[in-house]
Amino acid sequence: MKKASLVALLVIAGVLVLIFAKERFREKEEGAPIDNCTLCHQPQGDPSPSHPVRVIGCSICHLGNPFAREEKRAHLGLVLNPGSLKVARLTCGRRGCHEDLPSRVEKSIMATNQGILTALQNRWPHDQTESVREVSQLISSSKGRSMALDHYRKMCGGCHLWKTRFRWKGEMGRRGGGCTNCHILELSAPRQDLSHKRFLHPQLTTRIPNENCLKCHNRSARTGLSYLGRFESEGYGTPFEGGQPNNRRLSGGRFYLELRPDVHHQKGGLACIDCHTEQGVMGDGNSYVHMEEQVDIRCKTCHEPEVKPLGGKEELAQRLKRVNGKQPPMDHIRGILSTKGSPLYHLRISGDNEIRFYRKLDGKEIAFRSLRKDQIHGAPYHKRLTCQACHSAWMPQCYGCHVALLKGEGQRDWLNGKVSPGRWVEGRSYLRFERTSLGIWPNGQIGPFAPGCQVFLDVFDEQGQHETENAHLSLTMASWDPHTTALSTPTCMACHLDPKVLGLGDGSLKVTEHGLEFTPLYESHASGLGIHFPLDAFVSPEGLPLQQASRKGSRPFNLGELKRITRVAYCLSCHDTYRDPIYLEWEKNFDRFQSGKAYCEGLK
Amino acid sequence: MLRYPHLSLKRYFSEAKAKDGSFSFAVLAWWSFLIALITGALLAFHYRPWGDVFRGVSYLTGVIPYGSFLRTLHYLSGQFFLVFTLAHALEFFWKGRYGSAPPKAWAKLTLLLSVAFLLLFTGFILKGDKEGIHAANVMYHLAQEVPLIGPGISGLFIRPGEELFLLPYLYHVIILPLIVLFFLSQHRKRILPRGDLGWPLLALLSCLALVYRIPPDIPPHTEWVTPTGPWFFQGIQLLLRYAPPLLVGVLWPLLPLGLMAALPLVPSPHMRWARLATAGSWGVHGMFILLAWWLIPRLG
Repeated sequence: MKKASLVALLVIAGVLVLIFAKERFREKEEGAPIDNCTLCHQPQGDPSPSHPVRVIGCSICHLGNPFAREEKRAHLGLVLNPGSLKVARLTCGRRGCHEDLPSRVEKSIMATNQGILTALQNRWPHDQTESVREVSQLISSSKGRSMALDHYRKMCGGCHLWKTRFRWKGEMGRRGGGCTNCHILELSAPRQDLSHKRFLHPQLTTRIPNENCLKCHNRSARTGLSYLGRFESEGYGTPFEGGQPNNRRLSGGRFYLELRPDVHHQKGGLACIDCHTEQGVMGDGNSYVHMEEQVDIRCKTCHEPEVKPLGGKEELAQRLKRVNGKQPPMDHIRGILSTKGSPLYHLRISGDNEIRFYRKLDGKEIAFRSLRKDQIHGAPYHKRLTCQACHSAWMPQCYGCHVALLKGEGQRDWLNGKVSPGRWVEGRSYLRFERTSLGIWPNGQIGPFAPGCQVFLDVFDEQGQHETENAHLSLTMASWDPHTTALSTPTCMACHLDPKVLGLGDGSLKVTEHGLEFTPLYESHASGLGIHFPLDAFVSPEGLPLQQASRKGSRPFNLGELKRITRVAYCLSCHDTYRDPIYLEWEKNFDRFQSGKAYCEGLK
Repeated sequence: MLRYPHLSLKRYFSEAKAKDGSFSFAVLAWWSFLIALITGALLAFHYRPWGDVFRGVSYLTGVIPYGSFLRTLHYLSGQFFLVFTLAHALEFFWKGRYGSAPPKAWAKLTLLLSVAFLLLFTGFILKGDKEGIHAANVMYHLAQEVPLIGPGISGLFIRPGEELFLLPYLYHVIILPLIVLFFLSQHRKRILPRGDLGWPLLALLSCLALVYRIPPDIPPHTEWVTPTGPWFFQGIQLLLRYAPPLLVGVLWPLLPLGLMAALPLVPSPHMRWARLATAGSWGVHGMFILLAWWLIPRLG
C-alpha cells in the first residue's frame, strides 16, 4: 500500500475515533425521547394534563426543527404561539389531535368579524368594490381604505382571533392569538424569559374562565360586563377612595358601577361556558353573518329541555366530559342537545327524570329550575314575548356615537400595526343603564333593543376644515340578549304604559281616544344633534320607525301594536295579575267592554 | 500544490493521470459516487419517504447515532461526484476528446452528467423540508410544461400529495444509481483497483464532514424564508420568475447538455461555432447561477 493511502487510512481512523467519542458524549445528554428541545428548555409542569411534555414533546405544538442541536437550526420555523390561526392547522389541528377545529374556528364569527364588517359596510360610507366578508381578507391585502373599512382597521380590528398575541401591551395584547385566546389561563404564567432553562409553561384549559371572555366582550353590547353586574360608568371614578378615583376600573381607563348581576351568575355562579357550548363559540364549520346564527343555545334549551337519546352524539358527549375533567361520570344514553345538536354534557337526566346541572369550571351540582307551565308563561297573549323581554333587569345603553375622522393626523392600523393617515376619535352623547326598549326581533318575537350604533360621523380635512359633504348620520337600534337575567319581572304597567319600553323613549305618555300623546324628555334638536326626535326613540307615537333596526326583519312596534299594548293599560290599574279572569279570553272580554256589554267597577 | 512531510498531492495527482494524459476527475467522481452510495445505503435504513419526512430527516440527523456525520458525508460526496463528473466532461470537451472517442462513449458521458444533476436534484427533494417540497413541485410543474407528453410523463417522476417523495426516492436510491453504475462500468477495470486516490479522498471528505455544516433544513410551514433550489438550479430558478417555464425551465437547461452531446455529429467546418456555442451556454448558465446567489435573497 502506498504511503498516501496509509496516511489517509490513519486520518480516517482518527475521524472515526472522534465521531465515536462525540456520540458517547451525546448519549449522556438529557434529550427527551420526543425531541431535543428539552436539552435547553425545561418547562416546570405540563401545559395541561392532556399535553404532557414528556410524552408529546415540544415541537409537536411549537414546530421548529425537532431534533436539531443548535439554537439557530432548531428555531427555524419555530412558533411561539401554536394556537395562532396562521399555524393552527399544523399545530393544534394536526392530524390525530384537534383535526377538525381550526377549519371551524376560522369560519367562526370571532375569527371572521363578519357581523361587524357587514354592519359597517352597510351603514357607513363605503366603496362596494372594496367589500370584504372576513377580516382575513383585510389582513392579507392592503384592500379596505373606504371610511367603513378604515374605521374597522383602526378601531374594531384589534379584536379578532387572527390577531397576534402580545404584539401590544395590556388588554389589547392579550386579545387574539387563535386557540390560545380562550384556552390559555391568562394569569397562569406571566411572560417569561425563555432563555432561562427552566420556566413556567402557560396553562392550557378547556374550563375557560370568564376573564378570558371578558377581555373582548366588555365593549359595545358589553354582555360580559353586564353578566357580572358591571356597568361602564361615565368615568368620574366616584366615589373617590383615599382621595383618588376608585379601583373599579376597566381597560382603557374606564370605571364601572356595580349593578345586579345576571341571576345565573349571582345565584348559580355560572360561567360563560356553562351556557355557551364549544360549537356555539368555535363554530360549526359554517360562516355566519351574525352572532345569533352561530350561537346554539336559547333559554329554553336548558329551561324547557327536550330530553332525547343522544345516539351518535354520546361519544362526543363522553369526550367533552372527559376533556373537561371535573364532571361526574356519565352513564346514560339520554341527554339534551343544543339547537344545533351539540350535546350539553353537563346537563344530566337522573334516574327520577330530574335534570341535574353541573358547572363546567368545578363540576359542582347546582339547583336547577325548569320553566313553569303556568298561567304566566303559558299566557296566549304573551306568546310572542322572548324570555329576555321580561327577565332582563337592565341593559347598558350608549346613546349617540359621535365619530370624527381627522385626516391630518395618523393612527395605528390594528391589522398591520402600521400608522396610516387619518385618525378616528369617538365620543358619546350619554351612557345609561335602563330598562329595555322592546321591539320585534327578526324571528317575529318581541325582545329588547338598545342603541347599536347611533353614528354621527364628521370628517375634517388635512387643514382641520369640516368636510360637510362627507358628514354621515346612521342611527340604529340593535337587538341582543342583555345578559342581565332576573327572576323578578316588571309589573304589567311597567311595560304596557311605559313609553321607554314601548320604544317611544323617556318622557310622558298619555293614551287618549285620539291616540298616543308623547312628550319626550330629551331634546335632541336643542342639544345640537340635528334630529327632531330623542335618541332613545325607536318609533314615533304615530307608529313610524325613527331609527333603522340592526337586523333585516326587526323593527319597532307599529301603530296597531302600540295601540293594542297600551289599550290594556285601561284595565291594568285594577286587573293587575295574570290570574285575573278577564285575561283568560282577553280579546273577547275587551270587545264586550267596548261595546258596553261588560260592566267595569272601576269606571263606575 | 500543498506539501506534507510524507505526502505530495501533486505527485499523486500526476501519477494518477490516466494513460491518455487526462486528469483523474473520472477516478475521483467514481470514488465520490462509491462513498455516496455506501453512506446513502446506511442512511436508507432510517429514511422513510412517507409520512412526516421532514421530521424523519430531522430525527435521522439529530438523534440516530452517527446520523449527522453520515448525512454530511453523503451530502459532500454527492456534491463532489457532481463536480468531478462536470470537471471530467468539461476537460474532455476542452481537449476535444469527442473527436477521437467513440460516439457511444461521448453520449454516455453526457448522459452521466445529466444523471448526476438529477441525482442531486432528487436528493435535494428528499430532505423533505420547505425547499425540498418546493423543488418537488417545481419539478412536477416543469415536467407538465413539456408539450403533448408533459402531463403524461410528469406522473412518472413525481406525484403531488401523500406520495410526493416516493418516486424521487425510488429514482434517487435505485434507478439513477444503477444508471450511474452502468455508465461508469467502462472505467471499472482501470479505476477500482486504484485506491491511491480513493483513500485520500475519503480521508478529506471525512475531515470535511466533521467540520462542515450542511445547509439548515427549513421546516415546511416556515413562511419567512424564500426557498431556493440546489446551487446548480438557482440560475434557472431566477429565470423562472421572468420567463415562460417551458423555455427557461425545460429547454434552457437541456441546451448545454444537448449541444455537448451533439458535438461528435457536427461537421468540421462548423466545429468552432459549435464549441463556442457549447462553451457559451455553459458559461451563461454559470453566470446566472452567480447572479441568482446574489439576487434571490434580495428579491425575496
